[in-house]
Amino acid sequence: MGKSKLFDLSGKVALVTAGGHGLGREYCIAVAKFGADVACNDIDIKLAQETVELVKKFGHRAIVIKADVSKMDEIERMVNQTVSEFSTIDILFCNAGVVNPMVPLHELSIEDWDKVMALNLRGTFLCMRTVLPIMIKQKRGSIISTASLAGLMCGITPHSAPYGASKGGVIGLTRHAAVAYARDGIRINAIAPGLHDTRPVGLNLTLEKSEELKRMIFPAIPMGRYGEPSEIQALAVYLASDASSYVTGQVFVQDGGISA
Amino acid sequence: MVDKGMFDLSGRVALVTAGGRGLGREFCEGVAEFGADVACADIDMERAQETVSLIKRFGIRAIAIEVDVSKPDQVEHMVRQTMAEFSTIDILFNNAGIGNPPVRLHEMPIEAWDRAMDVNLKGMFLCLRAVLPVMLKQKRGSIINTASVAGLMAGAETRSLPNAVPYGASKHAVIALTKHAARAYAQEGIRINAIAPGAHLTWPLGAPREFMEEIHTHLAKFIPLGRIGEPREIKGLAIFLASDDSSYVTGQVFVHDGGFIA
Repeated sequence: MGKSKLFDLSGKVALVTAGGHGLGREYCIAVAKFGADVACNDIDIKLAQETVELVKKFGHRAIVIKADVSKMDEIERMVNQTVSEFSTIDILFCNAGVVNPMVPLHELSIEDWDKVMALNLRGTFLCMRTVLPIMIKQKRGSIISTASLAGLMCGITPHSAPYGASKGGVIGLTRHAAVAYARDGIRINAIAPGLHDTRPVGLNLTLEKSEELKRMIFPAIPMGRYGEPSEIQALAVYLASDASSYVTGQVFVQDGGISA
Repeated sequence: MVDKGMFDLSGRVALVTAGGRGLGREFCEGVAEFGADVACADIDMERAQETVSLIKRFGIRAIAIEVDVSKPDQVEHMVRQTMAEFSTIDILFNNAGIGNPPVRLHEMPIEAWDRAMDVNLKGMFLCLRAVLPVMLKQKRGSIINTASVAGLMAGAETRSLPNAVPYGASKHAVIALTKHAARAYAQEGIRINAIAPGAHLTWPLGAPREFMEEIHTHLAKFIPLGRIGEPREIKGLAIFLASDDSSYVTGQVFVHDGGFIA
């Protein structure tokens, strides 16, 4: 096999929000495997530290940044810290998100609605807004937002309207921003995961409850199973690298066929 | 350091229809670079041979096969020949397709409609039908169908392909075929996805070069990235979908268009 440079990320710098667990951790590992330095943000510094230990195995630099990416001052500090450590940002994964409590919409507290929007949608906007000037200056960058299948369809999880609406917003934001910054050499795409075997923040599932969910959900997935978080790595590498140089404004669904 | 495992296709066998030109040639190049053996089929044997000589530099095995994918007996022959040479098929690029004459629908010769459907849609069905049993037996396979952005939208007449109704209808159908087939075979280890390219610097079979140049210049103005795609830019997507590293992806359409339909 030829030692292809097609997906190479050597010398690139990636900032990943919510890189401490779930798909965010996979994004960190994936880009590090292909040579990138990684700034791993999370609200939980211990989890971020765990990711950084995993990432360092690949021989690149990695730092931990604690920040709540629904807060502008914390985002600015996160971006400044990344740039002072690595001089630039080439790749941004806007990945932080929460789910809403699973209750009918008319029983949902307004605070819970606001919390979901503040992180999932407004937080994605704030991160893009802060990182874009750096990418504009170097005329290069790849931004990958984490949307969700729930942003495209209702599908099979009940009572997900706030989450779905926020992720639909992320998709709109991604497509419009992609067109707006295409001439600046910046590509902006979204990954829309279906159900992966992660533990979403805010859901606090007991083992019993998650087994019950599996019994309900698996028959509705054509592949008959959840995705393993590690299965998202290649898509992340593809979108982060120049291998996707002609791709922008797109939503990449990885869902075992649910939305087919 | 580059991970050696991810995207690896060593030991895999890929069959690519219309591999003699354009994006089909890039699909052959892409999978060969990552280690797959390639059966390159084309209606033009000389061009298929050219692709084969190009990709042999990667040290893989490659053969050329002459085929018109709209003909069931020729499709069967293509699959038999691939099996005889390589014993299996792990990856199928259903890539053969043609445009239609640039005239309005009510003036479209019925034969032109039939030809577009026979090659773009029925040809794809015939290839799926012939290759799926091979993949079912080994409980593994990745099929990548070449759709088009014309399979997702018509677009304003002034900023899109004019008079592409039969082509657009056939590519819409390709997307539906991809989704339905993906669901039907998901439990058997076979993944089926589509690539929907926007405008790339290719010279499709039967389209006059001046006509294509005119279209390229015109369309570039409406593409957010400000240019027509280079054919080689599609390789990364092809490799991703062909490899086991897209293992949880099926029934999806991957648009590659410089932001055109964003």
